[in-house]
Amino acid sequence: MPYNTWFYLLPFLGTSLLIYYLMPPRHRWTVLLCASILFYLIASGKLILVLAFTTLVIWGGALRIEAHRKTYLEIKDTLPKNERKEHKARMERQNGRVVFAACVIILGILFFTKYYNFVGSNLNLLMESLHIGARIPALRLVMPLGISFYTLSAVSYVTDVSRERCPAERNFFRLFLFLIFFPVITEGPISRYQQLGTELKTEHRFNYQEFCFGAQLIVWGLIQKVIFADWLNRYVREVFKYYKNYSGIIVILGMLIYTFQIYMDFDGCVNIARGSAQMFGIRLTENFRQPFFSTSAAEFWRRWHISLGAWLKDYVFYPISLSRFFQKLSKACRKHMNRYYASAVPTSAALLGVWLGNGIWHGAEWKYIFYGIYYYIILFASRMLEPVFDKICAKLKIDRKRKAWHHFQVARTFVIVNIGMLIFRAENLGAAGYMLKSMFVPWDAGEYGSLLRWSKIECNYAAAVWAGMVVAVILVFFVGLAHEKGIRIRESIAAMPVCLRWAIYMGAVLAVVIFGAYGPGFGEIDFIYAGF
Amino acid sequence: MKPEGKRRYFLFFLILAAGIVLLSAGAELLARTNPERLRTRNLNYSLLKKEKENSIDVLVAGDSESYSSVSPMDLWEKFGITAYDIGQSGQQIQGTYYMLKTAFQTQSPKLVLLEGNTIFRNPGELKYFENLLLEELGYYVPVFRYHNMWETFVTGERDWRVTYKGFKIRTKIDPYMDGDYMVETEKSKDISPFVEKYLKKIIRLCEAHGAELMLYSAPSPKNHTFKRHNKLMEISEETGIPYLDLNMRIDELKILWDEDSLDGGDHLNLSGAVKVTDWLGDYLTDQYDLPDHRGDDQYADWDALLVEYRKAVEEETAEDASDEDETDEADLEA
Repeated sequence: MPYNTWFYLLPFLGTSLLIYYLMPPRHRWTVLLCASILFYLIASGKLILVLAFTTLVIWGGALRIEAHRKTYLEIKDTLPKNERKEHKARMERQNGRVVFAACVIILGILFFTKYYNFVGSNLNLLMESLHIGARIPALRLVMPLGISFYTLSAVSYVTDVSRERCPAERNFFRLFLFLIFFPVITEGPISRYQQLGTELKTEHRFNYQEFCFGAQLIVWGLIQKVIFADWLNRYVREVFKYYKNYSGIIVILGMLIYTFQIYMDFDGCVNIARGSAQMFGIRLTENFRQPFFSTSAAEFWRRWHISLGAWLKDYVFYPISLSRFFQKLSKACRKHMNRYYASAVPTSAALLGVWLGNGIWHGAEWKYIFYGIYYYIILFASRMLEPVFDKICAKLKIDRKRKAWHHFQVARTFVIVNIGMLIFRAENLGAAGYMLKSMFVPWDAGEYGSLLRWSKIECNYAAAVWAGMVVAVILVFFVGLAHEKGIRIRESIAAMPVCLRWAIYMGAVLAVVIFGAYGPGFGEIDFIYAGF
Repeated sequence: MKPEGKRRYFLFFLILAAGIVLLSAGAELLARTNPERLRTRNLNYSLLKKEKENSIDVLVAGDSESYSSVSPMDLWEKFGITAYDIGQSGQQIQGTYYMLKTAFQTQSPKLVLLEGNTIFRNPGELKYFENLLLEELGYYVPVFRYHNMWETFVTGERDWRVTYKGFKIRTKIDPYMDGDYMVETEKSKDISPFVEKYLKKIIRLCEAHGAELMLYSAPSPKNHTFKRHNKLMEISEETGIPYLDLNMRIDELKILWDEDSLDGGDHLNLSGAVKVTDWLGDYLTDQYDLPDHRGDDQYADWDALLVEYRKAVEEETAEDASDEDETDEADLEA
């Protein structure tokens, strides 16, 4: 049930909220559990059992980890000091094995459902070229809703319990709710138990402000999704699907518009999710923080899909960096390199895992793997070449504190991100290469007519729609700018005189009703990230 | 932020509701005065409401199979029957229900022909509920239905297709070549409980408005099967509603699959529709008490439209129709 349907917004969310607030606070979580199960059953039916199994694995694993720790703590004080260390190390080894086993099982399910056919088809190609007769059969696999998101949350839970960042949850159903909670199941944010689990455990009483702010965030998310993102879909679909027909400005516009579309689509979805949760009194973590104000690709990834970047840092980057092999590598680097490279080289090597993980997580296609590698190369190069850039800047006497330099960095990052988005959206890796080249071939309108005419014929676009798009970009820019300056927009609106405030609220709702891309001719357009 | 207070809260939603009602009235008016701005799918609602009150005796309802099989202008010319195709491409049963409700607001038809293909549509319960909600919203609050009009006003685009009492002239030929498709069996095709519920609602709605209901299946090798035939026969026996399966009368209808198929056996083209209409006209005048309005001054506009229709048919037939893709986007769903 996509969040951008009237069915979700009116009967589903409405009824859930009503029953939730009619229940005594200590039982309210059960309403969320039932609503989430219903939501999941509608979307994925029997596949809910896969999610239940994942919950069972991490629930049992975490209890086992805590049992090991409890046993150690019970005997700890009776042990002589030298034995304590040994017992602790044994307990940690045992817990490490539990985490490993749990991760193998739950990641195994994800890999099997998501990557089996991709790996199989590539192995088949390899065997064919080696003249080996064997073939891996393709399977028709259906992915359970949100598996890419809840699996990562499940891994974080079991790991955090072993790292003593959160206690093990004894109630299976509370843990089940943490994974299946309907606002986050489709597109995240990828949650941590210590945050969302705690929020779900807290007894929330009706809070007028939270309720209203939640509703407002939903409306803003809808504007982003059903007005801004969905109207752009026609142009993007046309340019990326028939990329061979287009070149020059058309492709460049296609790339820029797609970047805006995916931002609005994903941020819109997360805002609807965060708004829905907030109406229940539950806060979700931020997933975007004005990513296009970033001055570097690294910063972009700290502002874009924040929960994925943070997850990769905590559960891929740190384990790799702290592994024995990397400790040795680090030592060796310190011996043979200067201080800067001794730190940069091992870090960059560990980052390869992060970026491959990032690419693969998005989907079982080479273009996604390349997408990860693309960012890795950029980050690796910028790290390695930093001393060189420093020297160049010093020689050219560039004052890095000046605003112009800051703007240059933002623009440079914007270009890097857009190229990444083109790779991400292209039909395949070959198409991405073709489009990147065709950008430099001037657009010869030929049979398609001028840009505007072409747009009209092929995409129902016209000058007014282009103008609307510019207005949307400007609006999103100023909203981002306000956030950058620490202005809380919803609070600012709430402080306005009643007429103005109501005009904004009503205008926003009516804008969704009138300009929303729903009904005949649309079908609701799926959220892009729900497909990952 | 303090609670607005019950009164203010009430006032807020009252103003919002008033805004939506006003917008709905505006949308309804715009749809009526500028039907060419509407998407084809919504066009029927608006044009239907523009028909002279109580002037239509037969409504043809269902998905694209319905409006591809009956040509009201031919029915008028040859039998004097006033009919209207209220079907929509890919229409689901709840859509049929609300379309009929819309029709009954201004018309008192004597007969409703319900094409059976819509009964077998099964997009899943969730989609049914989602679409039901959209239909309900669209029926009671028209801005939800017509809201996309802003696009055609802004862009000057047209999604407009001239229809003749809901019928579209489509002359393209794409033959059906796979032979006999009505292979006898005793099995019958299941239908969703949701469809069953809405079928009952349609029956009650027709009863309440004094209209007789008749089920029929348009010739469609791609969609129709003997299992479907059996199911519709069962429904007919259970409810007492007559059922006419035209797929069992292909020879009588003189349908030739290399001439009368629009898209490889899915829908009928103009020539197929005319053949079905001719046969159906005889059948309906024989079975039902339908008045012949020809010569009645009240129906002079039908004669005027007939002239336009004939001219358009001539033009369309003269063109090399096969060059055109005449299948509506949404027909592909059918």
